[in-house]
Amino acid sequence: MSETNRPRLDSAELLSDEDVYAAMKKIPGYLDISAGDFKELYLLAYQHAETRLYNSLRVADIMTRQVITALSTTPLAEAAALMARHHITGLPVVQEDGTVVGILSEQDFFRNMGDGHQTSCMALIADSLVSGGCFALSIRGHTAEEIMTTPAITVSENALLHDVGKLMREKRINRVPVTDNKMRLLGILTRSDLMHAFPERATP
Amino acid sequence: MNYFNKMRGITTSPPGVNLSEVFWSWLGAFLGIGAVAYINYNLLPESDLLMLIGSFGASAVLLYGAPKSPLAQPRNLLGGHVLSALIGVACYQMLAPHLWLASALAVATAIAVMHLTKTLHPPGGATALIAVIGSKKIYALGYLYAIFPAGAGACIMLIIALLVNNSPKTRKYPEFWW
Repeated sequence: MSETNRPRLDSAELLSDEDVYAAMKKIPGYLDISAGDFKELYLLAYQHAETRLYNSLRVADIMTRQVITALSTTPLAEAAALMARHHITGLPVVQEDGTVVGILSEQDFFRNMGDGHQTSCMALIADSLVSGGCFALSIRGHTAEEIMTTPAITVSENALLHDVGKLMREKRINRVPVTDNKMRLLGILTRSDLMHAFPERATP
Repeated sequence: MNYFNKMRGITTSPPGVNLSEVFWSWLGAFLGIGAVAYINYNLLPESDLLMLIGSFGASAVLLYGAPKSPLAQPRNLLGGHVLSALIGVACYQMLAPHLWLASALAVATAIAVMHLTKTLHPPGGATALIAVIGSKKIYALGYLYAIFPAGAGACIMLIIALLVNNSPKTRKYPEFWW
């Protein structure tokens, strides 16, 4: 994923006593604090900074601006291939002018494949193995707008990450298109964008 | 962490300082105590006043040996000595001849008041205690003890600290005034 294999100090908790001691040695003069106290202080300050950033950063600060999209008229075969090629599990569906009309995700495919009872990839595989049929036939020849979830839940680029995190948790969605006030697409914010921005928070 | 486990300690002691730090600490203390002691022994011997009290030795450790410490900042130095001196004199005057009680109350109250006023300065405890232990001269000063020697001596040591601690590139003083 990343360009180098250099370990990253993502978590302040990786700070060792040795690191603190080495840092203290670099400051001339007697420091009236123990390495243990310093470390505790550092961890608390780090958490505070993270919370402060999380509560003040806005969507525009971390959203992905190069969005992979499908048109409402894109055939599902093409949309699926696009998602596979980019290793993504969903994308916004837009009109020619960039207006967001819906979201197309794995879930939409699952819901519309087979007899409509399978809601996960594994359920489809299991039923395919039993019946020997191909469940994708039921959606062959259809277009994105026919199975997409619409209307899409969108956010403005000025929304606070704190609020968007809450929204995504409540609506159980993994991505949310960022639009202007005319619903034109500006970017996308995904759960992994949030996780990369705040590695300390396991879930946004 | 259980009670006895806490007694084992959790971390290593901080690194030692280099020789230049040792030198500047030495020089600051020499000049700071030198100034206060000179006034005490050479300018005031015939008067009823005095300038040097034992607690200044402890202040010198902080001011010149650990000038970054929050305990060594001007607010703590001046506030700690003056408030503790007042408390010490009050305890002596109210409780003498029960000197054991006056001693205990003076030091304990000095710490409490220094905490409450954000002026914690360890030598303040000694300043309060000295007001009770006394010498006849100190008893005679009454509440003047808070200004001479406690406040005035601390001021002189503060001036020396400002001059000495800002001379080398590696030092600055204070971290904050108030």
